[in-house]
Amino acid sequence: MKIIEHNKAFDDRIYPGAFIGATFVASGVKNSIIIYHGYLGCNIESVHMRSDTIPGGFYTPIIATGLNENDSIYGGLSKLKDTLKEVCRRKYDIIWVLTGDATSITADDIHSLSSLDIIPAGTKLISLDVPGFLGGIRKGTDIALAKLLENTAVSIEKTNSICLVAPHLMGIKSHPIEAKEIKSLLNRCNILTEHILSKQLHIEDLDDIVKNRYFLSLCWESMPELENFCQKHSIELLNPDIPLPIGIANTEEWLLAIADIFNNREKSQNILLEDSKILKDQLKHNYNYSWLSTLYNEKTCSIYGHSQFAVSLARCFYYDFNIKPKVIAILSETEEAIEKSKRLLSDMANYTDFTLLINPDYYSYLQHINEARIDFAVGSIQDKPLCTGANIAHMSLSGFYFFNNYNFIPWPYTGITGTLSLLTELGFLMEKAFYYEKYWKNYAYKPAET
Amino acid sequence: MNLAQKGYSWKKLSDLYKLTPEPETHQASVMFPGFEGLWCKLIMSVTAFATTENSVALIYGPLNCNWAIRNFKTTDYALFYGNAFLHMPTINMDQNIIVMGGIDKLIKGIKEVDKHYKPDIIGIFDSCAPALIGDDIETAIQKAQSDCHATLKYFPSAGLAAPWLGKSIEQIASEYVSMMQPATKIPDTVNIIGQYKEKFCTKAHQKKCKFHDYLDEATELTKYIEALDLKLHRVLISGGPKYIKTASEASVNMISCPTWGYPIAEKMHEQFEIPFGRHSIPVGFSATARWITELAQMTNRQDKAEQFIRSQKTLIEPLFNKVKSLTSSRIALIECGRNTQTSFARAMALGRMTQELGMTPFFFNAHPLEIKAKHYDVNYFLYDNFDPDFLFGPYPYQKSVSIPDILDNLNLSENDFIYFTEDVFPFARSDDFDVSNAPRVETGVHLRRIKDATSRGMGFSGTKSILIQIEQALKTAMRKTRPSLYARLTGKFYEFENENYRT
Repeated sequence: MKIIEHNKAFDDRIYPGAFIGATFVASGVKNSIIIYHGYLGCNIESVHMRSDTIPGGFYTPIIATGLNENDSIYGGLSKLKDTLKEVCRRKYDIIWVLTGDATSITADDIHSLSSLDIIPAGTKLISLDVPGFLGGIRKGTDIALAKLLENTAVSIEKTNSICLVAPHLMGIKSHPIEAKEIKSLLNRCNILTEHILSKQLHIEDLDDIVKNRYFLSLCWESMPELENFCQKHSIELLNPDIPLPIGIANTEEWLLAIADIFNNREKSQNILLEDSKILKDQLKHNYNYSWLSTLYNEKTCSIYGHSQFAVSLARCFYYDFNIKPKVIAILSETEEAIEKSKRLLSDMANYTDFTLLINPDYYSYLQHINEARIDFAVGSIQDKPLCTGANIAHMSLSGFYFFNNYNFIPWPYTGITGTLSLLTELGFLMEKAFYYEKYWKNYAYKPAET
Repeated sequence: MNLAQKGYSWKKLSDLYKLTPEPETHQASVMFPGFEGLWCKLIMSVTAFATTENSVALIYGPLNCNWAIRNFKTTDYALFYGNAFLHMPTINMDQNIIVMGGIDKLIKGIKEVDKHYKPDIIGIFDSCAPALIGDDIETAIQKAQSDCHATLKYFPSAGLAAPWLGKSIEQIASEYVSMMQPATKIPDTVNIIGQYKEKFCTKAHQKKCKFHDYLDEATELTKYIEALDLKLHRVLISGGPKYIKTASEASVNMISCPTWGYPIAEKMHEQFEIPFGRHSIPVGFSATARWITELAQMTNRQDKAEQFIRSQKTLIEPLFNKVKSLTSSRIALIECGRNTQTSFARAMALGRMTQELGMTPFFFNAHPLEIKAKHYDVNYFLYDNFDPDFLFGPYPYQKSVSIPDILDNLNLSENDFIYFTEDVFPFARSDDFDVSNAPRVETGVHLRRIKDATSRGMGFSGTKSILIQIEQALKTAMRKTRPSLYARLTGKFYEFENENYRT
């Protein structure tokens, strides 16, 4: 494993800022409204990332104060107050106020809003200073989660259960479906999992969220604010050295590691066996699968994505499919995620050669994948033109649910049965990589000229 | 409450323009409470720059700004217009830079970018944060230039400036003229000015990029230039630094999009004395003929133009007359991009064509502040004697006025109108308003793809395609049964639930 860390005065990678992390958390709580206090370019990004734009989500209004140049000189607090008054005409459980870069720099006092008497009784006002320069999506998620849980949670008797944390940080485009699948898989194994922070969350859920003995983070980054909260409430924040449950080997490892915490390995093994039957029924003696599995066997690829997703998918490709990831580019905000990535790739490194790029700029990534002469690339919709422009077949799987993702089938990529989705995607990718489409065009039948 | 009770009324464009205060004023905030704008100047600046070749856009701002731009750049400009992947190295501003300033890091970053990417040009764009902390970016660029192979060009782009699209574009577009140099004119050459998003540089480039049959606008307009025995010189914004620099060699500038085109053409006229045509965005037979005629008058080729237009008329006239006979008593309901600030000039150009077809256009869901900010466009259409009715009122941005309310206000039934959508999320409801009973013509520029025609419907090819679309939409609306899935999602899902169908 050759490791190359980005070490330049500039960055070029897809990494949303803190207010987007906060938006993901806020829009996962039902009957919330978000006031984005800032300028419109940032607001439109949060609008695209809120819950209702994602299948299975629900509508969380985002109202921008929409400041202009004058407001950056004189301050925008009066516009914010006007917006808040307007918002308070309806009863919401939570009103979130989020700042962007400019309003954070001009230091509009968003925290003074809670003293206004216009906030209806029973409505919680959460004001967060989460500009882009504060950090990335993980930072905003951490801040928003801690603030959401602050005061709401009361100390109650613990149950032997799990609360899933931050599925949007997994870095897979179908994160809502994956969160649902992971929850379902755990429950089938009798590992009680009721809450997801924050997906489809009701305000009432917050009252007993501390009853969960465990919070299970679905990302590898450190979240110090959340760690403090967990410590205060005697909750164990699980972030073990296991991959995400993508593919067979990863899911087996992931589920059994968690099952061991709950002492129910046997039940979990039975569930794994049950799911394996679905795969066997679908794939065994299947001529098309045999064809596809031979076609992708020993092919080489690159993977670009958030650390936990990119590393887990790389392992899945290598262990389950015998596809060789030659370049793995990981995006990460914290050292913890980088180190865990290295650890979880170390076994694979014993058997196959690859380069691990840490937070590379896109151009460096391109240079590496060109040099490695890979057969295909997996990334997000945003790097499709980069790879396709280099004549490399590309599949969009990582990132967030965003425009031009046309998968409407609510079937996951995670878990044992999620492997069927991965195989279907690989099938499309093999078409792009290996069908001689340009030849068809060039050598198409042309009738003789008369 | 009906539309009038909500404070909406129909006004002529000229009156709307007079009634609407300048966007920057306090009066505007009072008249239109709520937020203003939708995107930011940085997003617009960089996406426009993305059409230049061998360029790198260096963003001086937090990494989040890079992400925001890339989303737009990729999901629209790259996927649907063929723009190449744009490398956007970003001086990732953090809290330290906010407090201490980041000029040293910017200078270091510029030099590293030059070495790493080896581009012809580095466009340097600032975001809100550096604009507010007052870093001296111009001096930083001057200091870095001597050590760089690439041309450095600063585009002031703070997102907080000019949230209204027209104002923002006006400021960005003018920057390209500063990249040009005085030059000797090349006779009989024409620039197409104001092309945006589409990738086009030279005829050779066009040939190389002709992978499919969906025409770009510059290709269509070039046909007319060549029909008059003139030569296309440059298409702006496009090409690399040398290409842009020598745009000043052209004899005449002709405009495609008025919002992008006029600010460049005016400045080029001022600095290089290049005359420019007044006509722009030629959608419809007459408008296209006027665009060509004006070019012919400026270059003394009237006979050629007349002959060419006559030949095109012969080709299009039968279809034109047929569609006109179907539409002449109808209202054209033109939705200006759901009030998202995207669509004004192209909606107007389409409306002007519907008038030619004997229809009466009514425009709605266009925010008055956005219209006010597009004074070049307004002036042009008024100059061309097109002053249609617009729904004027206290629009909140991004919130559409309901179409049933408009039908009610204008007292229209399903046989009285044709609905032109201009963007995604068209209104539909299986109960009473769907393609199966109310004619809907798709005119959103990104997703309207018709073979052998331009996406906005520009020129004769575009006009023909819109005529076909109208004819087809009218035919489909006669079905009155089996509503589309899209409409079923918001209305009655099954026909047995809905008494308006199959009765």
